[in-house]
Amino acid sequence: MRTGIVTGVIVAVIAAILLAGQGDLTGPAPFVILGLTNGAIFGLVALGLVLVYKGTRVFNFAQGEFGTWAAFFAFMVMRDDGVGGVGLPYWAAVIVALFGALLLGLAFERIVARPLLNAPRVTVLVATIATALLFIGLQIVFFEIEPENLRGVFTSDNAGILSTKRIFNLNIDPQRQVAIVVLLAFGVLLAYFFSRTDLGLAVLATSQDAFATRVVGIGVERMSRFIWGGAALLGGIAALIYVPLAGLLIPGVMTSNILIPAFTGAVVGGMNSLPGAFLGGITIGVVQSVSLWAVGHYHIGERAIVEVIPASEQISILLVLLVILLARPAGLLGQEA
Amino acid sequence: MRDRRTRLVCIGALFALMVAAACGQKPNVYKLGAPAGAAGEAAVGGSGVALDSEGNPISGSSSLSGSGITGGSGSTTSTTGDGSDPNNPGGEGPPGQDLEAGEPPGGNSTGVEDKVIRIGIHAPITGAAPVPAPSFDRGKDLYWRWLTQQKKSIHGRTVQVFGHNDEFDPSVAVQECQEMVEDEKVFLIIGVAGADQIARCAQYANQVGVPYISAGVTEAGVNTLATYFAIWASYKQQAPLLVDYMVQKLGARGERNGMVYFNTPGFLDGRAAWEAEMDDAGASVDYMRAVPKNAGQTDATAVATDLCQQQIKNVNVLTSPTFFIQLANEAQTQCDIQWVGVGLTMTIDTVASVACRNRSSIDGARFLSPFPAYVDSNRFDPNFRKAGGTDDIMFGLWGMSKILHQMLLQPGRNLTRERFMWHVQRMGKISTGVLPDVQFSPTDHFGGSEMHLSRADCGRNVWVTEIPFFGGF
Repeated sequence: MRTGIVTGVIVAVIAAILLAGQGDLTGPAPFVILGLTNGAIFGLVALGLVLVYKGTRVFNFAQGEFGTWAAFFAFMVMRDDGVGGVGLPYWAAVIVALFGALLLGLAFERIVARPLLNAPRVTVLVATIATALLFIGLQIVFFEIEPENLRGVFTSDNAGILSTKRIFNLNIDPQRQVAIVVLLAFGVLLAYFFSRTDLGLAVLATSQDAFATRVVGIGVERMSRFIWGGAALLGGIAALIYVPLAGLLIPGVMTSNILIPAFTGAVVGGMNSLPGAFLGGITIGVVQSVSLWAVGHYHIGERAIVEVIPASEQISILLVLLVILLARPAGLLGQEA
Repeated sequence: MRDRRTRLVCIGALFALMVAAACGQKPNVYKLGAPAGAAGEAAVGGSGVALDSEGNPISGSSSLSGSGITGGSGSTTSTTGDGSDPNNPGGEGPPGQDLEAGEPPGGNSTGVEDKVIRIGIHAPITGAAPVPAPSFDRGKDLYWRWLTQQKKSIHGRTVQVFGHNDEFDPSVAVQECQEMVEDEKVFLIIGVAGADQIARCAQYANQVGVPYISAGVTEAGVNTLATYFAIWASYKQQAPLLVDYMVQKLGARGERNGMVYFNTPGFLDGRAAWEAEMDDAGASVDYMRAVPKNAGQTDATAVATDLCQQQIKNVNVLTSPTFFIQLANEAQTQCDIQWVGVGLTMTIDTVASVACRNRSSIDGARFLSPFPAYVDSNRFDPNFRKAGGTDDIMFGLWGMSKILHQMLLQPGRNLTRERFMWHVQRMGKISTGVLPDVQFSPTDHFGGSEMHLSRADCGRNVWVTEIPFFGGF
């Protein structure tokens, strides 16, 4: 019931902005569309964050770097310029990259998360931060700071049903459409998984009381492996979609560009709600994008807001976060523990 | 037992995957597994150069295409140190040396030893506008090593270079410069790139009386510093050249023009100068957008969309290269924009390579650059490649070193900071054939007036020199 109401309100707000900005070439309408596509990426990473949080009650700061590694794996598998790489086709690279991300997630679970299964949650949180920094450090050692680029799913506009579309005077290229489709697909899949399958319920049970779960015969280690592996896989998918959009691949790219808005989206949506992660990501994407438009268009005196107040669009996102959390401390769709 | 085996297999597979991914990715990665000595070559730090100990002063025209440059005086006076350098306690020069009117007889000779001159150099090796570390490491003393091979020196002295990473962070830059001055006892400091880092470090250098040789960036905060010398045109000085090109060649007068810049004090004079020049030239400025220095892909997407919605045709970009790459990549999906700009780091080939592979997003972009494109380096100085130069960062450092070489020759054997600066202000035009000519005076430490104009060639994924030594039409 609440999900429907919140979704309806968000859709109504977005529709109002779009309708109000119709016909105005310099208005916010294209930025709403842009925000929806950016929000899809945030939502995808937020799904991974919520998955881990639901399963382990831990904020996973390494989520972004599972993705960055996947992007580097894909880059090296596809690369064929005489310097290095294997030169395999795109889809082979995707498989290897996602397998690599999965392996990283499982390794993290075995080496870091499982030994800390009964440790205070803050200890695991610090361990995820340390892992993220370690991953970035290793990427710098292996790949240096020099930027590279990664191709997307489609190399041209000849992408069939996903070919470039013009909406509200904005070109939506195939890669952005892929982001939305993938986010929708995973949102539905994960919601189904946690509400309708035994495995999903077992994961939830593990997060609520590991000892009791073990007593009833559910393998806590198996659940833990599933959660971390799944989260890493989601991070990898998000990176393979996002990095081609960003146009450059550098160490730590997913942490520096995506993790903070994704976290904000997850918190806004409710840390224990998968549909919330979806809606939170979208909300943050739209707020961020429209804010970026507004701070460049509105002025304080003779100067644009962005010139007077540095990082004003980031402030606006945090204001939205603050307002939502004051009204609903558990997030839009979150439930009190 | 089974868990232990699983863990080992997991770690092994992961490590193998990482190594496989990284293997051959970058030059010198293979050295990571080599003994420390083998990898030491690439480390940032001091690198001694054994130049010809008897080297006579080199005349300005012997190996450089200089004009109006004379060799050092060959003075044999000793120097006055500040006492901080145990190897050079200082002392008055012997009587009888010929001094010009007002020429300091001695001064602070920290960093100058019998056979060596120590200099420090800082650049962002990490951060938003990174200079590739291997290029910086090899390029920082490439010219001085080549000089050694040619049996030449600076009045019998070699040059030892201490490289530091300022992390594209002004606070870090000051720390690094302090380390160069206090621990490494350098004679002077060079700032390669990064307006804010250069400004902060130059202010520190001025406080402690250390000469600061700078890339041409902002004038704000450094235009009153006595020890600061910009060896190519500042952003402000480049503005008329850029506007001239935009109006004469790109038709900016009849089109919509805009600027995107980092909202940082170091770029404000560049923005103001460009706006004023556009106004003087009768070209409109229809879009002006500041973005935070830590702007990322989301900002780039929004700004690119805004530019296209407002049908801006020519855009002057004064940001980091990474932001520019993202901006151009995003704009490419929406509209055609002619990118232009000033500066240094935009015109390195890495930027062209990455951006060109993003759907040729910067093809035809025009940027002013202090050094010619690497692909054209043989036209300007064939010795560079003979010396082992392999990219544009090295070429830029090579050009800077050539200018510094001529500066260091001027005071003669009696090299002190005071005498160095006195002579640099009066030595006339410095011409190297690589960087544009530069000339300082006691009242003007911004001696540049020309730049090279580079064009992004996405057919080859490189920058090419379209107009060398461009001083306007």
